[in-house]
This record gives sequence, structure tokens and C-alpha cells, in this order.
Amino acid sequence: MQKQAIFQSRLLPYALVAPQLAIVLIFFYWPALQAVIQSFLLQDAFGLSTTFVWFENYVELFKDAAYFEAIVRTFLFSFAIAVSSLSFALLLAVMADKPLRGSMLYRTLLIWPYAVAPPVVGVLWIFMLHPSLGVLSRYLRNMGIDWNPLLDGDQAAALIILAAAWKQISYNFLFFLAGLQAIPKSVFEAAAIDGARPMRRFWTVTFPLLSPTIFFLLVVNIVYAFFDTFGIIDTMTRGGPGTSTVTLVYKVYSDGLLGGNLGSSAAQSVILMVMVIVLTGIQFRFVERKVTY
Amino acid sequence: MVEEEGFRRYVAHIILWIGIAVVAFPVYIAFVASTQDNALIANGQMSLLPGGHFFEVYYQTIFVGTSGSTREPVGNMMLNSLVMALLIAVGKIAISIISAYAIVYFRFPFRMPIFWIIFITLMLPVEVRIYPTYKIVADLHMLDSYAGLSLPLIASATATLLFRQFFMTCRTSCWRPPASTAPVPCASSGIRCCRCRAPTWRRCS
Repeated sequence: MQKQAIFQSRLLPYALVAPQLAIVLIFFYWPALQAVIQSFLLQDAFGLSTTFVWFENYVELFKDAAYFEAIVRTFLFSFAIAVSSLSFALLLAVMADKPLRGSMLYRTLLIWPYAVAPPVVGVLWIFMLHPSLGVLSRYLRNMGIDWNPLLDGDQAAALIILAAAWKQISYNFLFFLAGLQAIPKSVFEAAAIDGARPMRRFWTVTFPLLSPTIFFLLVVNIVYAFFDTFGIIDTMTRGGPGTSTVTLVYKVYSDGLLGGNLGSSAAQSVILMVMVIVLTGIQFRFVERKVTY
Repeated sequence: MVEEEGFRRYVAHIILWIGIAVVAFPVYIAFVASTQDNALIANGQMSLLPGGHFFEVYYQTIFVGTSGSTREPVGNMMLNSLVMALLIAVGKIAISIISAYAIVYFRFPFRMPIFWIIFITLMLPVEVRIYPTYKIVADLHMLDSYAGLSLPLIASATATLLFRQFFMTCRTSCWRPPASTAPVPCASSGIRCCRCRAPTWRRCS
């Protein structure tokens, strides 16, 4: 924004921003505003009458144990997905960054599943771990594990976390590899000359120098786990068994579109919006701080 | 580069192959499933090697549609997706390249508020506002049309942000005009000058 103003024109800049402004206002702000208004309304079951109820929808939500459970579950899911996916991707990236024979091949083979879309991820994992269709379920049962994510809530949750973390491996790998290659090799050589063993070199040199990348990926992965897991959940468990895989985003969908409780669904949307804004704000604060160091 | 001892190199190779197996296995299984008989998969008796139904299954899904249901052939869906993706891509690029251009190269009242209005859309993914968005599209009588499918997804700030960043890294010196000439705001000047190496201003045609 510090750029010098080059061109003088009164109407042209407005004409240039007008198309985007129009689309954003109609398809973003109008629905968002409607969600906020809707969150203050209470509708009867047939949609015949609506009454203005102020914050009743919000109060009901926070009194609702199921909503509280969904919040805790969403954070647990996000944390588990981010940590497992990031650590596995980091391990692979550190290995692929070494001067190995065929490292280009390794990199290519590890990057390509990046293109798989979330709902497809769900289907892929159904083929592996569905209790009756799954290829791996057979082996699990032979090993004596009572594997049935359609009945066991914990297993269903583990399945969602595994599938969601799997999808992010390639993305994280790509960014970690780029981050690793940006670190000058001389610092490793200096550490090696000082007698630091590989493990120590990793924790005292690589890891701190990689921290901006790690932090960026952490935020991206958490936001991903919040929102993009919707497709995975919808194809794999539809929130079940019971409500053991209902996350906040899935609840917005199931309460609103399936349950018909529009006011509550809208209130949940508004709460989610606030959460995302806070997350983004935190990210920007930290990223700005890291850039200057 | 720091030398790696033999043992550690082997460990690295092994870890990488495990990683590739983890990453590729689900996709491989899906491919194997696509070449097998339906009944076999439904029984959970699917083998780990490709079966002999490759052409049959792919022909059926792409051109005929799933048997026993009214599902559309996948070929049609792929065409729909292609049209939608192209509309979104072209629409997004077209509207955001000009708005980013305006925001970087002009000074006008409400410039920053407009930037923030666009920027905030980054923060709320479609999944969260899916229901109200659906309602708007219905109110505008755009259900069942490509416009209704793609316009809500064009309303995103990512491209604007990237174009803005790109324009800001362009060399301003390219634009500095000779004293006598008035600067001309045309899009082609922006694109050409970003590429110019010499710190001279070129007149855009």
C-alpha cells in the first residue's frame, strides 16, 4: 500500500472495483447479514411465523450440552489432525531434503495426492476401513480387534482424524520441503563441525529456523480441520454413530438443513465466523512478528 | 553438505518408502476396487490386485450411469464440473485483476474501506454460510443454473490479494514518465512494465 499513486482518474478506479464489489456484496455480505438477522429470530416448525427473540438462540446454544461437546470435539479433532499430519510430513520432508539417490522421485511421489478432494478422501478411506467393505478391516478383525466405526464412536472419530490428517500430508510436505531448502546449508555444516549429532542438529538448528513455516502450517491445518473436514465427515460417518463425529461445521449443516432449526443454525454460523476471525487475527499478529526477526 | 553415514541413509530411504506407501495406498485401493466385480466388493472379499472388470466398470460409470439407480453418467458430471470450474476461474481472475489494479495504482476516496470489504471475505468459508447463500441464490432465481453455481464461489478475495501483492512488487520506476508525458492508466501498461528490465518508462500502445 506504500506504492506511489501513479494514475489520476476520478471514475476509473470505481469502475474497476465495481464488479468485484457487486459480487462480494450480493453473495457474501447479503447472506452473512441474513445469517446474523436469522440468528435473532425464532421460527415455528412449519415456517409460518417468526418472532424476534434477541439472543435466545445464542443462550439456548450455550446451555445445550451437545453444542458444548461439539466445540470440545472440534478442537480435539483439529489438534489431533494438525499434530499428526504435521509431524509425519516434517519427518518425510527432513528425509527427502537429504542428498539421497532418487530424492526427486521421492518428492514427486509424495506430492501428488495433494489433488484429492475431501469428499473423495472419505470414499477412499471407506474402501479401506468400512467394517464390511474395507480391505483393512478384515486384517484388523483377524488380529482380534473389534473394528466397527459404524457402531463405535471412538473408532469413528479415529477414522475421521486419520483420513483428514492423511489428506494434509502432501500439502504440509510441500511447504516443509520449501522451508528446509530455504535454510542455508552452511549453518548445518557449522553445527556439524562443532560436533553436533544429527538429532541435535535437527532440534537446535533446523527446528527453530523452520518455526515460521511450522506456525503458518499449524494455523492453515487448524482452519482446514475446522471447515474442510465437512466433506470427509459427510461421506464417511454423517456425524454418527450418535453424534460422535459431529463437528461445529457439520452441526451448522445438520441443524439447519436437516433439522430445520434455522435460527440456531444461523447463530452457530455467526459464532464460527467470530472464531475464524480471531484465528486469522492471531495468525497475522504472529506472522508479522516473525517476518521482522 | 554434511556427509551422511551409510546406516542413516538406509533409514531415510526406508522412511521415505513407508511415507509413499501411506500416501499412495488409499488411492491404489480405490483403483483396484474400480476394476473389480460389485458383488465381490460388497462381500468384503476384494483382493489387493486389480481385477478384470476395468473397461466394463469405467464404460458403465462414464457413459451409462450407475445401474439400478437414476444416477447420471459421470461423463455429464465431469462436463458440468469443467464448465463450473472454468467459469469460476475465469470470473475470479477477471474481476480480481482489475480491482487489485485499481487498489494499487489509484488513490481514491474509500480505497482502504473497499479493500477491507473484499479482504474480510477471506475469513468465512462457503461451508459456514452455505444455507444463507443457498437462499440468496434461490431468491435470485438462479438455482439450477451455472450462474447460481459459480457466482457465490467467485466472491472470494484470494485472487485479489495475490494480484495486489504482485502489482506491489512491480517496479515503480517503469512508470515514471518523461516530464512532458502524462501517465496513461491502461491495463496493458501494467503488465508490460512489470516485465521491463531497464528503468525506463515505456508508453503503452
